[in-house]
Amino acid sequence: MAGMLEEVKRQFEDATDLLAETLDNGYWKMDLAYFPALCDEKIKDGLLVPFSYRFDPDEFRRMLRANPKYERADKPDQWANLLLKGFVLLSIEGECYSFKSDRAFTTEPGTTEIESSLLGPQAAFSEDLNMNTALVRFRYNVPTLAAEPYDKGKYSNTSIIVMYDRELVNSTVLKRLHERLERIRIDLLNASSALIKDLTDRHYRLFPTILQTERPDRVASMLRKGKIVIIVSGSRFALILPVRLFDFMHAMDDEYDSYWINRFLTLMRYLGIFLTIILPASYIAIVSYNPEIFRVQLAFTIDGSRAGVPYPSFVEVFIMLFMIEALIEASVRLPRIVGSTATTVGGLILGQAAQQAGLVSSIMIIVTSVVAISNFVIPNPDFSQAVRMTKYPFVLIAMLYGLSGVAVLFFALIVYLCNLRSFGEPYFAVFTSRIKNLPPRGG
Amino acid sequence: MRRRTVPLFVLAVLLLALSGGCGFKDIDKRFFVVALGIDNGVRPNMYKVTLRLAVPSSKIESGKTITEVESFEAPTVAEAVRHLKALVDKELDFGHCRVILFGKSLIEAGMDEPLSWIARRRDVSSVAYVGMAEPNAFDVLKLHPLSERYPGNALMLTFGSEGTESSYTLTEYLFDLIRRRTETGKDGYLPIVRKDIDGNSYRVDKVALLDKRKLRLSLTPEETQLFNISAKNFDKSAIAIPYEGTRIVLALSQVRTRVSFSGTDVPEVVIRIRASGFVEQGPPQLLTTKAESIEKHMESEFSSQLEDLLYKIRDSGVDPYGFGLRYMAKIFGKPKDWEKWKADYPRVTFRVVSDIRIDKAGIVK
Amino acid sequence: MYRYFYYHVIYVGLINIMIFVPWTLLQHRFNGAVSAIGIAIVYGTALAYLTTFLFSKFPGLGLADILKAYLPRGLSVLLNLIGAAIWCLAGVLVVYAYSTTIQQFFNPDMNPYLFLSLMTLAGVWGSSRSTRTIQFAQEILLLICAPLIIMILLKAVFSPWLDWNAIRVTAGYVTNPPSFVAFCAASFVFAGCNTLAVVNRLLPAEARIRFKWIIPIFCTFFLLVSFFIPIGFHGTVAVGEYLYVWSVTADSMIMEYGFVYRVLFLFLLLYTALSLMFAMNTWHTAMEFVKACHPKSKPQPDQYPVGPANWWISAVFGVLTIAYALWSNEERNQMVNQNWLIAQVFTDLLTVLLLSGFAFRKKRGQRRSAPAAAVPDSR
Repeated sequence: MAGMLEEVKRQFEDATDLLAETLDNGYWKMDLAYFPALCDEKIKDGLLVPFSYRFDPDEFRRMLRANPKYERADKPDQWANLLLKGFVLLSIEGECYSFKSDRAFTTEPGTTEIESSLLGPQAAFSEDLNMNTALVRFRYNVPTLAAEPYDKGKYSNTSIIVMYDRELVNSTVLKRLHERLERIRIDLLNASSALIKDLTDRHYRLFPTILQTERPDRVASMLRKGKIVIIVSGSRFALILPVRLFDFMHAMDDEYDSYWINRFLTLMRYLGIFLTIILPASYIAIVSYNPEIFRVQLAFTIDGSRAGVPYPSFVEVFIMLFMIEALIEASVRLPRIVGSTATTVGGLILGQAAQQAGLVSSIMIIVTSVVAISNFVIPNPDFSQAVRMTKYPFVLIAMLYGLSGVAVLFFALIVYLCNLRSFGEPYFAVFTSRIKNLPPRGG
Repeated sequence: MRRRTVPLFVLAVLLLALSGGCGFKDIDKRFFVVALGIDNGVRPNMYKVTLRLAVPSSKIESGKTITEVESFEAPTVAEAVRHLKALVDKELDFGHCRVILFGKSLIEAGMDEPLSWIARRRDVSSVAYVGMAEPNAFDVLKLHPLSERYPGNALMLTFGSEGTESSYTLTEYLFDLIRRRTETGKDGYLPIVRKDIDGNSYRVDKVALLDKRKLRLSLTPEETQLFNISAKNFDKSAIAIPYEGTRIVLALSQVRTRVSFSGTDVPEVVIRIRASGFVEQGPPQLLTTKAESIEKHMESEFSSQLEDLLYKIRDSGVDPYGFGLRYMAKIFGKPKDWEKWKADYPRVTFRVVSDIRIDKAGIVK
Repeated sequence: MYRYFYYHVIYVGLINIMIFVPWTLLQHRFNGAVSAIGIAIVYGTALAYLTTFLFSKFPGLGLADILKAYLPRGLSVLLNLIGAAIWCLAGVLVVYAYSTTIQQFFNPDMNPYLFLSLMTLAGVWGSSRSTRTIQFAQEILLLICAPLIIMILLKAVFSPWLDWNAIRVTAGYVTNPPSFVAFCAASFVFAGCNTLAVVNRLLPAEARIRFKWIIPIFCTFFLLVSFFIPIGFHGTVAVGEYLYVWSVTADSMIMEYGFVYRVLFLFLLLYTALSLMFAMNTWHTAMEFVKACHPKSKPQPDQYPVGPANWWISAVFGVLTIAYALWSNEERNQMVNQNWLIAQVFTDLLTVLLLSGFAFRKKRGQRRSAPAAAVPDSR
């Protein structure tokens, strides 16, 4: 049908990488259109060889009907979409077919870069949608795992897949998700984080209510708890929703290590959050408002160490916080070769030299390093960023009100966290939605 | 949400603007008062307030502490402290004031006023150590012991249980002193703080007994130790008795007392003391032969010493053991029972029944 | 699910310090406080059992909804407003008392209204949340504070400076006839059950409140502790002179090897959380009462996001707090506290009487309108 080629050539006017030709093997004429860059080698054995030198009309027709890779493509408005997704359009004997032959950019699962564990598997998602789906199916290997495809992104046309366990999933959450997915208007969907902003109810949430992970085993354990997973093509991270705050503090090592170590490390993580948020603020509060809180010996030590510092405590805190934030940010962007210089410069020189020059007190150096290290004990990077931001309001309140203000703001923070809802589920509630409330499998 | 950001912003700006005089003062702009001393002034009806201030230094070494002692006289303690603020360059901070000393002449005259000033202040903690300074607080506070690592640390370690725990030193907290001054049936006491003979440390080995207003009696060091054992059940003390020409010293490791009352008209106070310990000093071959008789001898000697002390205390009209309160607690007494006890107290008899056991004799027999 | 109810019982038992309950009792310690305590224990337990039993007859409904369902509109609006006033005043009193205490001990150089405004803002923020959020926040705060509270109480009870003889002497005054004011003060400790007025909306029909014996045990313990421990530390005579009794009592304990030496600071920081929790709950309850006056309102224990009505009503409470602080001084504050304690006894009784009347009528099948029960979507 000359119509298909013309239509395609019209839509893709200036695309020089489009192959749109009529092939003639002496018996039939076939109109062929595809993007060679987007298609892989399977065209040769799947289409071109049966058409060219192993041609048999009956066999070819049988192949067109029986081979699942061939599908009828009668609707002209779908042709552009199919071509862009890596399908081959062929029109033969007046009928139009599409042949699936999209190219996979990666064939190996990735390795974990952000969420590594000691004893658990090191496989991570890659940027290929099929590979990711395969990894999830491999770990969560039951027939009730449902997968719904979507295409989002006006200009990027990214395919995403929503996966959940049909029997365990919370149906209200699923319904809410469908509604939100229908409502999304986004131009370029390049990574799963772009989807997060549109899926949450407000754009500027400080604390994340959707979890991003690169590990298939975490996805599997979340599916078991009845959560929903969204996999985005071209992104290494899968989205999990609805989540609670405790899911952000849960590293996969907790499933693989021994019980007592888990308890100890979990305690340390929460202590890390607490220290990160409270320590700079309480330094200001104790040094400037209520030095009588601590033991008298500690008060004299702090007093002595602040001997040379010329400005008030909150300026000191801001200077050190700025330095540490700049250091952390710079170490993300530095090229690998220069990376070690940054640690040397930051750690040794800035800290030690600043204290000796009398710019900061030595106690402040300790406070800053504890704050920085405690921040990275948190397993999830989104949550860790959020916690990094929460300490600034505390510093402000400590400047104005002292330790009592810090206590009041801590109360307000807890109320705020309890007020968050992740797709309707409570964010920060203890003793709720334990796995034992879920129906048992196989029964 | 834009509707809400504007009022929030206005609120934040208001808060920042109002926070001008909100008490922000850095730690290095404060002068910590580590000890407070109150005496009678040179002129009549004046109080002399002495403050020992800690000067911060970045070196923490024994003997390198720097303190500043300031003192001033005024009709009331509050005025004196206020005036003292004009003599120093940093803000006075009483938050770490942990030692309060009263001069002997002040206590002999009556210390109601200074005590009421201290009780009203919110920043002097109720668990500050109190004591009586002999001859006066100014001289004692001017002492700068060599072994102090932090300013004012020496007295704090003496009184608290972190440093030395001596049976001659009694510890008294401010809240306990205030309690004992008004309680029906219990009177106050204060450890006496003096300067050592060579002037480089404190000597805290006596106790002063007070009634509801002023000083009544000062005990000797031996009596102080007995008081500590019987009233405070202090287990790191020792009992020393003469024995066949020498002295035997029993270091106690456990002391328990029980007070009961008997008698019909005039109460008789029976104190049962059970103490056990090991022999620290004594003639050799002590335990093999005569443990029982030594114990009996110790018991009788100890009981008589304690009874003498109790009568001495009774005769000066004070009741630091709290027998009155105990009696009222036992009979669930009402005010008229208290009046009866008060009238009977000068005639009360004491009986001490002690039970001393020698556990060990050290590493030598 | 009913554990939320017990959290209310516990923190109301603990917050009694801030409503001047110990101060009132200690003023009457020789004039019948001890016997009033004994009577209050019996009365409080009976009232608590009765209240929980009656509320369980109306599952999923708060007190405001029950009133709306069984009484003519004018009367129910009046009673709802009275309830709102009593509850709101409780929160106002606690916030004011706490901010003056903190201002004394922590920030003496600060303008007293500044800290009050901060606490009011935090209370307004908390109380405008939905009921379910408040229960979650309360659970977490209590779990954080509970170990510290237990530690302080145990420290107090086992301290060697606690004078049991003074306690015994005071207990000996149990033979004096009880005083009414002391009785009202003591019965406040058992008033935690009244929060069922709002929490009942969260309890589904089949959840029965079990382990009710927790109420008398805990509340009696708190009542005895808050009365006798200050006497043990300050003696029978001196204890009547202190204005902030429990703050000075907490100051008389030390943590010898701890980071913070004086227990007072820990105690006060702990009470920040408890006072704000109390204010959050009482203002939320008062707000629900006010919201229920509107004829078209339905009980919604899990609203997300919360509607603008919540903000406006809570803001009114905040303004009331600041106005109260401007008007009040120490004497007036004590007078208002005492009168509030007396008033809350009467409102408790009134609630129980009304509820028993309604329960009786419900059994007989008479009802004015069908009350819309709230169904929480997940536990």
